[in-house]
This record gives sequence, structure tokens and C-alpha cells, in this order.
Amino acid sequence: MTWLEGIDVGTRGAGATVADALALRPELAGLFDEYLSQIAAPTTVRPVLADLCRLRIAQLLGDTAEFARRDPAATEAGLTERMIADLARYPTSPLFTPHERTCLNYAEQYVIDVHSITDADAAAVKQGMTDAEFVGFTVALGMFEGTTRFRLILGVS
Amino acid sequence: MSTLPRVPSAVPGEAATLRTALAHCPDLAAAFHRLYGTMWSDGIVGQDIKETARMRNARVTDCGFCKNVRFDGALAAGLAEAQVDLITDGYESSSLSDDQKLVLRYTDTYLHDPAGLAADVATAMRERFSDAEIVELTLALTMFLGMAKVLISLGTEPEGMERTVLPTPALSGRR
Repeated sequence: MTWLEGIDVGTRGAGATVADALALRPELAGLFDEYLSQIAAPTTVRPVLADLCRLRIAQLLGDTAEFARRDPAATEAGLTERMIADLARYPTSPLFTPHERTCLNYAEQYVIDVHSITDADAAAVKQGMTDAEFVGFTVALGMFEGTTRFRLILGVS
Repeated sequence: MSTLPRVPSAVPGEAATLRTALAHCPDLAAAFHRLYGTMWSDGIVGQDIKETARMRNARVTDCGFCKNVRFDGALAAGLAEAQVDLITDGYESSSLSDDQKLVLRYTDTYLHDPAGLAADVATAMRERFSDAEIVELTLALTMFLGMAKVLISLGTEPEGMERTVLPTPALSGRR
């Protein structure tokens, strides 16, 4: 539950959301949505890969509400509930490709100790990606981690 | 850590930096700059306050670029280098102001245990800042952390860098 008293959740009866919080700064809310839309654009990131990392970051930081959220674009692109259920076991689970494992490991390093990412780690993530995809993927990780922390500290979902 | 860029510059003739790496995704970069510039220059939280949080993030995240950049708007708002020097682990016993210490406590919570915000810090934040200011400051932290780690991950930290004062980010023509 949020500790901000000025958030208006209207008559929904549900908890406050990121959108409810950002509505307090409407000049920034639209720009934030626009930035997130650019990150989520299929030309920026691959939906399944990005969503696996979003969910893993939510799992690492203990954001259960975000972990329960599903991205329809990722589901449509092939992300399954079995994969999500196996996410914590990604290093050995047969449900993930070697590249997905490499990228999930990169996402974990990004959150836990970003300086531990080696040139070889980054090169392995880049395998099969364009430069634009690698940059977009890395920016996406930053927003996944940052917005997860935003939700947790403000008590919104 | 690497100071060797992991992506080439997307701008012919220019070295690989965060800016020229982001140029591989021009629409994404433009959206980032619109949000970041507006947050800094059209914000409702003082630039000295946001710069205090940015510097704490820079030092905790150990971003070689972020640590050495200062924004001129924060300097103009009174954030002197002697104060910036105190944004370290010992800030609680420093001569920083109560507002600065509160923002540093909030920043540390965001960076280390965002689900564990202490009740006294939440109360103090509500007493000192409006809800809209708290949201803006938290969004600023989101961007500071995200971009510091992007900079590190892409290998675009400079090998060595002197302290550098830059214009506060703003939308084009809005300074």
C-alpha cells in the first residue's frame, strides 16, 4: 500500500498504480509512457527475451505484483507459463535457449553487480543481435530495474 | 568493468559514448532526452536536491562518468563542491543540511532495499515534500540508476575524467 496520501485511486477499490503516482506529475507522465513505449517497441527489443528479463528482475527484487503481470505481446510471441514457472531455474532448465540463459545471466549481473559484466559476457549477449537491439535491450534492463524499485519504494503496483 | 565500448558509435566520425551509442536507437534516444530534459529543467524539485540524489547514485553505482559530471543548474542553486564532497557513506554525521540528509536516506533506500522504506523516513519525506515532488524525485532516481548502469554495461565509461560542469539537461531551446 502506498504511503503517499495524495494518490487518487478513485472508486476502483484497488491499490494505487504507477500511473496513479505519475498522475501527480502529469507533465512527466506522458513522456514516461512515451519512453516506455519506445523501449517496448518490437524494433527495440524482442518481446519474449525482454519479458523474461523483466520478470526475472521483478523476482530478484521481490516485486510479486510485477511478477504476476503478463505482457500480451510476449505471450503472443511464445512466452509460456511453464517458462515463467521455471524462471528461477533458468541456468539448467531445458525450456530456455542458450542465448536466453546468457541474457538472463546478464540481467542478473546488471541488477546485482553491473561492474561484474565482462566484455565476453556482453559479447555473448550481442550474438545474433544488431547494435541497436543490444543497446535497446540494455536500456530496457535499466528501466525494468528502475521502475521495479519505483513501485516498491512508493508502494504502488 | 570495461572502458572499452561494447558497441560502436552510431554517429560517423565520433567516438563511442553513451550519446552516440544511444543513437543506434534514435526514437528511443529522443524519448529519453525529452523525459530527462523535462524532469531536470521543468521539474518542481530543486535542482540542488535532484543533484544530491544523482551524486549519491553515481557514487554508490560507481559510474565513472556520472561521478565526475556536475550540472550547472545545481551549482547555481547553491550546491557547492564542498557539499558534494560530503555525499559519502558518512553523510549522517556531516554538515549537510537536514533536507540533503533526508534525500540521501531516501536514495539509499531506493538503491539498497526499496521495499524497506523506514516509517520515519516516509513521514519525514511527506512533511518536507509534496506527493508530486516525491514522485518526481523517485522518477529521477529511476533514470539516474538506469542510465548509470547502461553507461557501465555498454563500456562507455571514460578511462579517466576530470570534474566537468555541463549544462543542465533541458529540452532544446528551453534553458
